[in-house]
Order: sequence, then structure tokens, then C-alpha cells
Amino acid sequence: MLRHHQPSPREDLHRLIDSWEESLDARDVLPYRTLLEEFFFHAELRYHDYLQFRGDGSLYGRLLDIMQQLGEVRLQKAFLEITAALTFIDRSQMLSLHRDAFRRVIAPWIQSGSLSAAQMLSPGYDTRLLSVLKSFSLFSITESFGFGDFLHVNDLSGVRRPRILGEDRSAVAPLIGRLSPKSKGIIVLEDFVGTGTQATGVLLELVSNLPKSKRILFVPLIILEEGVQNLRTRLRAHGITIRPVLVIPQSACLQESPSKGEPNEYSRLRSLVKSTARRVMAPLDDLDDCPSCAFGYKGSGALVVTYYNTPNNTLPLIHHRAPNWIPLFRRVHHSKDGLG
Amino acid sequence: MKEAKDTRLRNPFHDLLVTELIDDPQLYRKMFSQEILVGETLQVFQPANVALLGPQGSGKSMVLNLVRYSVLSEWILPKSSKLPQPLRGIKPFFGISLNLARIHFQAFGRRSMSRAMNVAPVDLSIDLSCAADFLNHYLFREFLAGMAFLTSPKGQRFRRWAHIDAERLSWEEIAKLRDFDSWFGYYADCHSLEELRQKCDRRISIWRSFLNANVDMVPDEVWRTKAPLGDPLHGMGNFLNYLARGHDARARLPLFVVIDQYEVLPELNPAFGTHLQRLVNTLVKARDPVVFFKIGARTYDWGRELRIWGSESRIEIQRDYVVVNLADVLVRQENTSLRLFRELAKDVARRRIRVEGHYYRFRRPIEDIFGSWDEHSESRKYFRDPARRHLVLRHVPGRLQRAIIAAGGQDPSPLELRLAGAWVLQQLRRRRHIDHIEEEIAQHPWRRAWWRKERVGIALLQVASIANQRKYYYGWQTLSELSGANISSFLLLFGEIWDKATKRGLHPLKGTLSAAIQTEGVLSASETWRMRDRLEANGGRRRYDVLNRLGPAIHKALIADLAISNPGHSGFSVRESELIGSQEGERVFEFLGNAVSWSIFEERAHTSKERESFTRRKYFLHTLLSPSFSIPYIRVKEPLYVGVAAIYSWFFNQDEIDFRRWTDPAEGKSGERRQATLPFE
Amino acid sequence: MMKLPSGALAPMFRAFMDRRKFVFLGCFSFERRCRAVVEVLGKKTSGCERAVMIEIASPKDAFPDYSATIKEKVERNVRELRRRKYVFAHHPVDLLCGEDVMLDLVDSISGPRVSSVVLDITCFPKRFFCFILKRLLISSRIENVLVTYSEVGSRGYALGHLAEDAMTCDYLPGFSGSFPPRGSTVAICAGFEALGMASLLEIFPEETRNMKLILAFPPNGPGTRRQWTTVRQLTYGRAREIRREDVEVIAAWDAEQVYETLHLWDEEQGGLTLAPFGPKPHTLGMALFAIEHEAALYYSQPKAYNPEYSKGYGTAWCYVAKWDGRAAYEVV
Repeated sequence: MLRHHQPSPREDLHRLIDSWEESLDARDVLPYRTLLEEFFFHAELRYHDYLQFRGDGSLYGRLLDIMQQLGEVRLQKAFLEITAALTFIDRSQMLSLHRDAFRRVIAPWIQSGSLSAAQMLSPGYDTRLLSVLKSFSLFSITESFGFGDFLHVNDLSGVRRPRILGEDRSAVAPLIGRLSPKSKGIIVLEDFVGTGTQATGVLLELVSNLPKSKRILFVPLIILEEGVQNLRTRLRAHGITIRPVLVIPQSACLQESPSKGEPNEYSRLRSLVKSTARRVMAPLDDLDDCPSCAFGYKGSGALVVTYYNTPNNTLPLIHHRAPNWIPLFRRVHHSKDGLG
Repeated sequence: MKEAKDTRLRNPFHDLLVTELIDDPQLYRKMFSQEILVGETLQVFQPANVALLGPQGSGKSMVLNLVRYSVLSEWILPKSSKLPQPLRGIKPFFGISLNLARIHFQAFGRRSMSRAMNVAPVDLSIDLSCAADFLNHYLFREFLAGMAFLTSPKGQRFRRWAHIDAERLSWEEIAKLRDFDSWFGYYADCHSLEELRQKCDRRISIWRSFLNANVDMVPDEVWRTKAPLGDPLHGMGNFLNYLARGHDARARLPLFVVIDQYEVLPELNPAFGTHLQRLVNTLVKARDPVVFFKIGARTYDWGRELRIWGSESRIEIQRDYVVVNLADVLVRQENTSLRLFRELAKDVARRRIRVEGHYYRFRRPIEDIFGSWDEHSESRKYFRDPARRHLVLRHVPGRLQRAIIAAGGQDPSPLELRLAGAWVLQQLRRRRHIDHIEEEIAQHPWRRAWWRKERVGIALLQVASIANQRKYYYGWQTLSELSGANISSFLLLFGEIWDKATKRGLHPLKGTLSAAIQTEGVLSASETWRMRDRLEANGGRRRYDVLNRLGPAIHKALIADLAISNPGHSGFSVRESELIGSQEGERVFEFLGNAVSWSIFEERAHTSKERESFTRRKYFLHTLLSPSFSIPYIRVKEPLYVGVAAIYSWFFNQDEIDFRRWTDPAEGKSGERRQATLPFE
Repeated sequence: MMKLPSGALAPMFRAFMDRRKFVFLGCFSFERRCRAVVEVLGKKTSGCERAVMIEIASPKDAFPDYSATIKEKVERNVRELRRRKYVFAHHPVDLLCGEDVMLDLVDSISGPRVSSVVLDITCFPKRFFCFILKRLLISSRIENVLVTYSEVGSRGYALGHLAEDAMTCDYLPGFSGSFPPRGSTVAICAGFEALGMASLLEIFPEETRNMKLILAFPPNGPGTRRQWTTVRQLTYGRAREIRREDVEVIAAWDAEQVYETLHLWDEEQGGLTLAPFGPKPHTLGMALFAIEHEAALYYSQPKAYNPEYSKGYGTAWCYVAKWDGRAAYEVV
């Protein structure tokens, strides 16, 4: 049978699954074919949004490499299952989160439920809303929050470019000191929050420097459920309103210990993570700030990838480049990028 | 970096919708296989009312589409103004079409004019008269579009073929359509074809506005001018004859009206749908000499409501209409060689590859893509190591195993051994003496044609099972049999196999595809066939449930029995008389009919082997479902004989189905579960 | 264009209804959330003059047959509402009833002194609420229409099929669209089930030659992967494929954004037909567009609903579909 071109990684991946059939019952293989097809579908439509390390070769090539690195069929199968469990936030979805953050969370909050029917129906509503927004100060904690997208997708022309608080708490006070006295409050946005540890510190610093009359709203676009709980516990007494846009439930995270309601296949996936931990977490070089836990920062076990980077709460299996491991979605580590 | 653009070759078998072809009559002509135009099918193109029946996917739309003037005109040869064979002998006609569901016909009665007028109790005849008017004007709309076509340059070929005098297409002549008495002057203020069309659209729009509850009444000018059913159509038919009689006073140009989605009316309008069907039946009953109806319906969706409007009188087959059953045309009888379908399938495949796939230079026989198949070669694939082949004999007593091996010659195939083993087990079950059995082995009794033919399919499944492997499906012969004479399933099979090949970087048109790839495509197609019915078809969910119990039951019954005593038990048979007259029987019959209509079951009449005067019908799962359940797809005689009560419990009580009770023809007794079975998963 | 004030139920209701009298129309279901809104608004103290709760009966031939479980759960919800001293009229109707039955329903709630209606679409089948909404919007007597919707609880939707046994694809009652039809593009709001979506493309091929998709994200409860599975099934085995530029992602609650997107596509494509298989607020956006533009709404109605469809209830939303006699799409 003649080929019409040189074999591609995609074709090799199909043949890999073919090879499983020689040793396994065909019925066991069918779900994995489906998973592979699903991967290809998402890869073609969405995963190619991924911005980082595009010089590392194609996504299919990376998956094939991973399969070859794993070697054992059991582990290969588990890895295919993990790809299906990933939450990949593509560019369109991220824009939708930005839009939702403004329309559902920020707009009602800044108007504090005080609008009348006439005002909501008036032709000048959007102008008025923009004007109210401008009376608040916008911040993000890290520089990874896409403010350009946020302003563009919500048509917020003329809104002053938000400032970055940074993870260094000592930088917060000077920034707050420069706040206009007319500012009614602060809206802090962030793209991704994991456990909330770092965010808590920054927000506490914020609240301690801000007059009590100023309102504070924190809007993480994506946050782990664990993070919401931590933030609410620690910040409740300080009058900070926390309104996430998308909460990743605990049951969707693959942690070291099983959590209630997690899918059945997670036990296999957990085993994969443990089997590959050493290889995956080996430092790439002297400069590598390599992960210390196979289940992600603080053991979060997140399975989240955004189109512009992978948070460090996500399993290193997915993102960490090691001497003998090429990940699917390699992470760029900025010191001020996303909050773990 | 983005992945290199997907280099998969364009798949010419992906589900092209018929109407994508309709939009492009030239493409349609290239893609349409005339192999299907034989015998009874040609009646569709003759002046008769025809119910064209067939299961889902059998190609009804393809045939009916050709009736439409815009499509047929593409067939007319430009120079000779004749139709090519096999349509050469067809006399000219003018075909328009109507899809009842798309025009929203089903909403009449649900949204009742009678109720809107506060008539109490609700008077059905008011709503039916509105529906009749709507139908009249919608058909007029299509007719007017046809007139516009005829007067345009595109219509030239058709005019020549139908001998239409162009002068008779002037507005002065067409204006006669405006003046039908049955319009009651509605179109009187129209002075051009375009104005006629616009006014017609307006009227239809008004009805739809009412049906959509945008308004609560129709204007007086519409209400007062409701047209009686059928009269305007008769006028249109007469007008066509007039068009054709410019040079020959005896010329005829009948009006053909294709009606689609007739069968969904009761589903979409439970209370009133059958009444709407009766309206259409009335048109058929009229046996108008100038208008003929062509109604496409799934096999058992036709015949449930045959009464006409306002009377218990029914339309009668042969008298008022004829039935053309596409399934019968393509699969004439049981045990057919499927010659016609195979030719159709090959032709369709060739056209698709050349036209849709743009592989214009493809000239190889289609069969070559899939290669040949023979049963022995297949069986050897399951046991590549000859030393292991004896495993297929493991349930046979040692002495007889040795006899078989000795008689088998050099390198007998696993199939040969399995059939021999089955024969031996069957003899043992009959309590023949082992000496006699051993003696007879030397004559290879399992090679007797009729005995063997019925058991090959099962034996191959058993060999695969013993080898703990998935069965192979490959070869042109296999694929055409798996299609079950259904063009949709054939396209699905081809499409899936094509996909599997290209995903591995193989060019399907070069060389012969491997058995493994063909098998993967077949299994995928089988699964898709099953799931499509579940998700897309009315009643599919219940059929899916029944399939999931019936399929494994058939599998267990056949594959477990190493003696292969009842090879025909891939299907079941029931007396026709049991299917009527009782609620249970009728419910079973309805389920069976729907399953046949939706190409989930196949049905055959058969002669009972029992001494009874009753006729029976036998049912099998559609051949394409066989791979999903690992059951044979070749039909052999003697299905499982069951009573309607048993079938009822299978379908409606969700009881486990047990096919493993059989009648041993030699002993004439019901059996119980026997020894020598394969263990189950 | 349109202005559809929307937001959390309580502040929206305060802002708009504030002591106005209204009639409440809702639908009982096996889901707990069928009571969520009526329990907030259904008393005279809220301004509710009259509450009407519909109970939908599944077709007898629905398969699987969940009727016993459904009946029990519905009765539990009815009892609970009574136990809490809510007063309401309780009307049974068949799922597959015709337009006239729905007209009667609308007539029954819109008496001469009724000018405001709160329509809770949480558990109303789409074929009902789209039709009812249309009649309320075109009625000259009804001046104000608020549409409410309660999200599912935090545990989201059931894992198995939410609904099965689909009928042949058909127009939603009242929505066969303008005549002659405009355009050849279908805009599909994708849901969790692929039910009937493929046959939509087969039965109405001329109107669905081009395809646009609206996906809900963030979703109402977890379930994005299921939506993608549905999207994949749409294209499976078909010559057409999905292009990025034909997909719009919109939050599950955001009816107004759905409308805006449809408006844009309508202008680009010269006409749209619509297929609301997604979340109810998206369907609301589609329905408003369809009413304004006389667009067709296609749907494959499932006959069997999983009685474990969802657990609990979440945020309740309020959408002002009509105010002071002007429908949302008449307010620019």
C-alpha cells in the first residue's frame, strides 16, 4: 500500500494504537482510539492557540514523543486519558471570561444594585457604566492578566490602563498611596489563581493600606476551588468581595490523595504521575526553577492550561521540561506570572 | 508552531446530502448512478401514482429527485433533446416537488382556524379546508417557478424534449393560470408571471403567519377565496398539455408531483397529522388524468392511513396507485447474488471518487481497492502459527480429532477444522456411534455444499473467538454484503475505511487496503449505524435498547454452540397472522415495521418448514449491525421460530432475551442448553 | 439591536417591579430548581397576584420510561410548595400539545387587568416558553414581561444522558420563520446532547448549508467537555468542518450577547435560521432574535428526560424582555 507522503506524527500515533491491538482485546482499544481522535479534534481547532515554545515542534510530535518516552502501554493509555481530562482555555474562551468578568461581576458591583429601571433602559446606559467604571481603580496582581483583551472585548475605550500590584507586598503601599482621592474603590483582576496563598498576601496588604470607605473587589478569571475557599476564609473579615468567573472544582483536580467525586480513571492517572515523577521533575539546567511536587504547586493537582501559558498548579507532567521529558504544554515561568 | 496542514486526502464518501446535489443539477447528474433505474423503478417516471418505498438510506430521494424538472433537464442530451438510456423510452413529463414538513404543513390543526373563529366544538373540516388551500397554493408556487424556468434560457433543453411551443409561454397564455375558477379571483389583479409569484408568496406567508400565531385571523380576501383541493392542480395539468400541443393535438405533458415527508405528519401532529395525510390521499384517489403523485416513504410508514378526506373510502393499490419497493428491486429474493446492488454500488463509488474526490484519472476496478476474500485465507489470519490450529478442535474427543487431522490433508485451514469439529459434535449430539462417525470423517461430510454454506459465517466467528481475536471484515464481496443493499450504509462503510486509511498516511486508491484497516473501518461504520438511529431517528432510543439485548442474545446462541446446530438463528420468524388482531401483535408489528423502515432490521417473507398453512415473516438485524455484535451477516434458512408473546416480551418488557432454545430438526424436539459451548465474555 | 437588562433576580426585581402586581407563570418539574424562583416571587407580598404552574406530561411512548420517578418527584415539588403556603393554579398539559393549547395557556394568564407577567423558564420546555414569550411580547395588553431562570446547583448536571428519544427535527411552535426563507446559514447553540442535530442538517439542508456555532463558556455547571463531544458529533463523517471564525463563545447566562452575535451574523450572512440546543438563556437570546426577525427555530424535541437531570439550584437570573409595552429588541 503506497503512502501519499512521509509519515507524520499523527499517522504514527494511529499506528501506535494499532500496535496495542496485537496484544490487547480490540474492545479495550476502542476507547483509546476515540480519545486520540478527540485529541486531534481539539488540537486542530484549539490547542494550536498555545503560545509558548512554538519552536519545539508540533503538538502531535510532542504527544508522540511522550508516548515513546513513556514506553509502557499502561502509561501511554493513562496519558491519553489525562489529555482528555485537561481543561484547555483557548483564546475565544478566555475572551469570554473577560467579557463575563465585566458584564456579570464588575458591572453590577460598581453600580451596587442602585440603578433604576429607567437608567438600565436608557440609551446612555453604556456611557454611564463606563463613567462609573472610571471612578474605580483597576489593578492586577501579575502582569499576565490580558488587560488589552479585557478592555477591547468589553468596549471600554478610555479606561485608564490598569496597574500591576506584583507579588512583592512591599510594592503595594506606594501604589495605593498614589490612588486618587476620588476613586471609589479598587477592582483587582487576575487571570489565574491556584491555592490563593500569594493572592491573599497581596490583598491583605492592599486592604491595610486602603481607607475603609473604599470598596474592594477581587475578580480572578480562573481559580481553583481550593483557592476560593482559602481566600474567603482569610479575607472575609476584611470586607473584600471575591467574585471569581470560573471555578475549577476540586473533583477536577488530580491530587495526591483521592478527592470526593473525582472521576474513576483518576486512580490510573495518579499512578502515572507517581511513576513519572522523578523523570518529570528533574531540573533541566542550573537555571531551572523546577517543581518540587509531582502534583503541582502546593499539590493542587490542577489540569488547567490556558492558551498563553500553563499555571504551575498544573501537574508538572503536563508542563515541565526535563532532560528526559518533553511536556505537551511547556510552561514559561515568569517570576510574576499567575498566582500559585 | 502550527501543525502542518492536515494532509488527509479528500474523502469522497462523506455524507453528501441529496440537496447539495439538487442545488447543482450538473453535479447531480455526474453523481447519480443510473444502475438503479431498472424495472419497477422506472414506473416513477411514468404517468401513474406511485408510492416509492424503502428503508432509510435505500436511495428513494435519489430517484425522486430526478423527477424534478430542474434536475431532469440536466439529463437531456443537448443535441438530440432526448434522454439517455435507460430513460430513453420515458415520455415527457413536468415534475415539481413539495416537502411537507419544510413548508410547515404539519401545523394545521395544531393551530386551528376553527378555534380561532370560536367555532365550538372545533370543526375539523374548516382546518382541513385551510390546509387544502395552503397545499393548492404552495403547489401553484412551485408550478409558477417551473414556468419561469421554462421561459428562461435554462429551460430550452426541457422545452425541446417536451415539445413545448415557446409561443405558448407568453404572458397572454400563462395568464390563463391566473383565471382558474378555483382561485375565486384571488389572482385577478396580476399582470405578469412575477406578480403572480409574489401574490402567491404573500398568500402562503399569510397562512404561515397564522400558523405561527403572529396573527389570529387571516384576511378576508384569503378566507373568501379558499381553493378546493385538487382543482387548481387539474388546471395546471391541463395547461401543461396545452403547452405541449402546439404541433401535435394528441401530445401529453403530465404533471408529476413529488411529495416528501408525508410520513412524519402523524409524529409532528399527533392529533391531526393523519387527517392531513388523508388530504394527500384524496389527491391520489382522484386519479386525475393529468396529475400524478410520487410519494416517497419509508417502508412501513406507508399504509397506516389510506383513507381519504371526509370518507372511509381508501386509496387502493393497483387501482389508485402502485407501490415500488426499492428494497425489493435491489434485493430481489433471499439468497440473491445482489447483482444489481453491487453494480449500483460500484457505479456510485466510481462516480464519487472521480467527481467528488476529484480523482479524475481513477480507472481501476473498485473491487481492487478492497481485494478479494476467501474464507480459508481469513481463517488462517487468526492462527498464523499452524501448530496452534488444533485449538479449534479442543472440544472434540481425541480420537475424532486425530481422524479429522488425518482427513484434512496437508495444512488444513482453521476453518476446515472448525467445520469438521462442528459436524462431529452434531453427530455426537445425535448419539451416533463414534465408530460410525470416525468412518464417515474420511468422506469430509462437512464439505457438503448446503451444510457448509450455512455455517461458514458462524465458524469464522468461532475461530476468531477461540483465537481471542477480533473478526476481520475485508474484501469487496464482504463489504457489498455488509451494506445490506442500502446505498447509505455502503457510503458509510466506504467513508469510514477511507478515513482509517488516510489517517495512517495510506492512499486508498493505490494498491489494496489491508484487512486490518478495512476491519477498523467496518467496525466504526457499524457503530455509527447503531448510534445514528439512537440519536437521530424517531423511536431510535427504544430500538437501541432492544438491539443491545437482541444482538448479544443472537451472538450467544450462535457462537456458543460449537455444533452449529441452528445456523439460521441469526434471525427470528413469526406468523403473519399473529401480528394482527391483538394489541400485543399490533404493537410488535409496529415496532418491527419501524425497525425495518429505519434500516435496523431486515425483513423477508419465507415459507415455513413446519406443516402449517400460515405465512411467516422473518427478521434479521441489518447486516451492517452484525460486526457490532459479532454475528454472521449472511442469511441462511430456518430462523428461530417464535411466537408473538415472546417477541413482545423482548421488545417491551426489557426481559433478557434467550435465543438458545432450538428445535433439532432431526429429533423434532425442543432442546435445552447443550454441552460444547464457548465460554462467554 | 437590543437592550435586555439582566442580572441577579433580587436586585433586578426590585429595580423594575417594585410593588407592581404581576402574574407568575412557571413550570413544575422533577428538578428541585423548578421551585427556586416561585419561592422567591410567588407570594402576594412580592406583588404576585396569581401564580400559575404548569405540569408537563411526557408522551406515553417515551423511552426510557421514567414516568413513575418523574411523577413522584413532581408531586414532591407540588407538595412542598403547598406546604409552604404558596397559592397557585396547577395545570397539566402534554409535552407535545399543539399551538392552540399554548394559546389557551397564555389567555389564561393574561386577563384584562394583567399588565405584567413573570415567566420562569427554568423548567419550561423550549417549545413552550419560546411560544409563550412570543405571544406575550406581541400582546398589546401585556406591558411588562420579565423572564427568570435558575441555574443548576453546584453539582451540575447528571453524568448520563440528560434527555433521550428525540423526535424528528421540526420548527418550534410559532417559529417556522419568514417566507420565503432567507439565507442559508444555521446558527446552532450547542448543548450537551447531540440529539437530532445531525438530522437537522439533513432535513433542512438548504437553510443549513453554512453553520455557525455558539458555545456556552463559562458553562452553567461543569460540562464543557460534553459540549465539545456534541460539536464533534455534528461534523462527524461530514464534508463540512468547523472553522474557528464560525464559533462564538458566550457565557451561559448571557442572552443579550447571544442576540448581539446573531445580529452580526445575520447582517453578514443575509439571513439566519436558528437551532437552540444550548442552555435556556441562550435560547432566550435566540427566541428574541427570532421574534424580531421572523427567523425559524429548529429543534428535535426529546421525549424522555432523565429524572436526575440536575441537583439543587444556583443563581437565579432575571431578564427584562418587555417594559412599558416595548420588547427588548425595540429598545435601542
